[in-house]
Amino acid sequence: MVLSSAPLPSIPPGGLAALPAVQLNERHEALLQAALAEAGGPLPWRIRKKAEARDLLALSQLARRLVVQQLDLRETLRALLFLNVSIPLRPGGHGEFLVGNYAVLGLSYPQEALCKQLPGFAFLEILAPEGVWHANVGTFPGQRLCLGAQLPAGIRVKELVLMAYGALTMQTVQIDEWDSAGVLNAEAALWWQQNTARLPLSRVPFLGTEDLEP
Amino acid sequence: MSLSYETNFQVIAPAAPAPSEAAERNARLPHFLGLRAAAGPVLNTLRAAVVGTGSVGRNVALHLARLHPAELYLVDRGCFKAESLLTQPTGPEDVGQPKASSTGRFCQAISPYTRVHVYDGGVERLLPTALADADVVFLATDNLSAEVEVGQRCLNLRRPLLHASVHGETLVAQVRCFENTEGAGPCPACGFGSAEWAALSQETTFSCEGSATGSTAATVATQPTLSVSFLCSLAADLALMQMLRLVLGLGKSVSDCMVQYCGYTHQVVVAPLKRNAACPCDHVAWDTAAPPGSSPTWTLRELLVAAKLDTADLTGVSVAVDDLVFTESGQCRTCGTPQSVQRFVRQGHPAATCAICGDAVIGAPFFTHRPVPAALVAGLLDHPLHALGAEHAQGVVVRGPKHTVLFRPVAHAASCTRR
Repeated sequence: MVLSSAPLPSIPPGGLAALPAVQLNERHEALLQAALAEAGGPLPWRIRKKAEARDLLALSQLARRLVVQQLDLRETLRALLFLNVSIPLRPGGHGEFLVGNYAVLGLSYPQEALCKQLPGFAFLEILAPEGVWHANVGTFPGQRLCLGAQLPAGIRVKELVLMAYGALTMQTVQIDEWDSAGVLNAEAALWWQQNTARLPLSRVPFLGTEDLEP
Repeated sequence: MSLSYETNFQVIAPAAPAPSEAAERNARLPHFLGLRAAAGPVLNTLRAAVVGTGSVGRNVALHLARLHPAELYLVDRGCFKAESLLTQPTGPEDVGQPKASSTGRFCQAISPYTRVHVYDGGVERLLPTALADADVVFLATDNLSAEVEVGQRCLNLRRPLLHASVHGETLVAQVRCFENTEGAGPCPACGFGSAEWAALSQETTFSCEGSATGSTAATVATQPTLSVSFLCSLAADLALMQMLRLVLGLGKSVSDCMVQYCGYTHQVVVAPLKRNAACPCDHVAWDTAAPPGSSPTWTLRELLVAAKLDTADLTGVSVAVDDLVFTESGQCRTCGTPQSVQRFVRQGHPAATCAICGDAVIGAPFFTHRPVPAALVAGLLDHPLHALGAEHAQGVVVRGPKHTVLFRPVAHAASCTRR
């Protein structure tokens, strides 16, 4: 996956709250329009999906580390995301500990998320790499990423992506194996309790580029 | 109790055939002013659901039972506690008992003519069509999530909803009546402000222990109803008043309106309820239709055609079967082999058998859908539902660009002994 080496657009005044003001580039506009052509559901939901998808694409324009590879707005808002991120790995759960540098995320944002609380693991699955070694990442089925025991109804897609980055770099983490509220891998939680010196994996903010190849 | 497998409800069997000395409802039923037709036949066939059988809801259920309706559906996740005696029409013998079952037994004893269904669990766990047979739904819960859930279901199913509540500190009892004949009307969430949404977002704490099965083990933290018992019963009384006027057409219409009584001022306010254009709930009322043929043989194509949709263009079309998810692919839990599934599956249950080692294949979360876009199952349109894992489908929701249709089998058999 080739990350963009084009100059980054400047962050608009108002920061990430002003994502709607970001002008989408040609690729992103084409991706959005193709997805909108097949969008389903009642009109208010289609409008919301458009806004969320547009914010996601704008975010990826501001942040070199994020690439939206696929977008599906037919029913649930689904997106395939490539995220350049420091990610803890331990193949098979007992191999050598490594720090990877990317994750492929499957994002699912259903209509019911607008008016209901959903579990923290309902939104994101790490499709690659395998062997993620993280207290808040499950092992089966799929590598679900839990973003917390209590997420608000109507949480925004961009917030989910930012929370995912914070969780994977372990800038924010729940490793109390006795607290089932946020722990999906108790073994990993215990291991990290004994290896807190390694935390966090990265201090680079989401929009930062210091950890990215030039 | 006998188990009704079609829904999550259990039926409370009458203790004995209706005794000959059981009271006839008409012995005390007045001839209401302005009544256009006899009340008896309406009440005889009335089917009512009550979500929340606590300080307000139990009163509602007992009042309903005294009207000898055809069917009662009672839902509550809780059990009576010692404190319940302070506000609810219960006795010490009920402490520790599940609220819905306990209330159901009481209702059955009052009205042997009524078929009583109970569910001792959260309303969100019921099949999406569980309330579809109710002529009217009462909402008397103490949590905002349930308000949204029930409001959404009644809106989709076009069921009239009566929401009874109290505010103990100000001695206010309130009943809101949502007509739900069209999706354009208001729902309980239309009245939510930022404070309500913030409170709702604090109510439920999920345990990640449920992620392996896809289930949502959750703790719902709600404030107990702080009120006096007679204010709670007053809210229930008002709710029944509104229901009676609604089903018998008495006086001015009560649809989409709120009635509120204040014990401090003895004032009663009647105000209309309005749709909130910014409400995030799904304001789409479903049409209901009988499916083509009998349940196991339905195909998706037949359902799409019956819904008057063009099967050549599946843009904007989706399908949902009961609470099942459609799984595109999964992974064997033993050998880890990824494989195609292409079936409807109960969430968290094995989706298929591994072709390599024979163990269970569990659906991959990102490749699991509910509802499923019809375009994703275009190659399966001519497979009967039973061949796609939906052998016992009770309701299929087909959503198109302009309308949504719920297909259900013909209604269940009539209740026991009628007069």
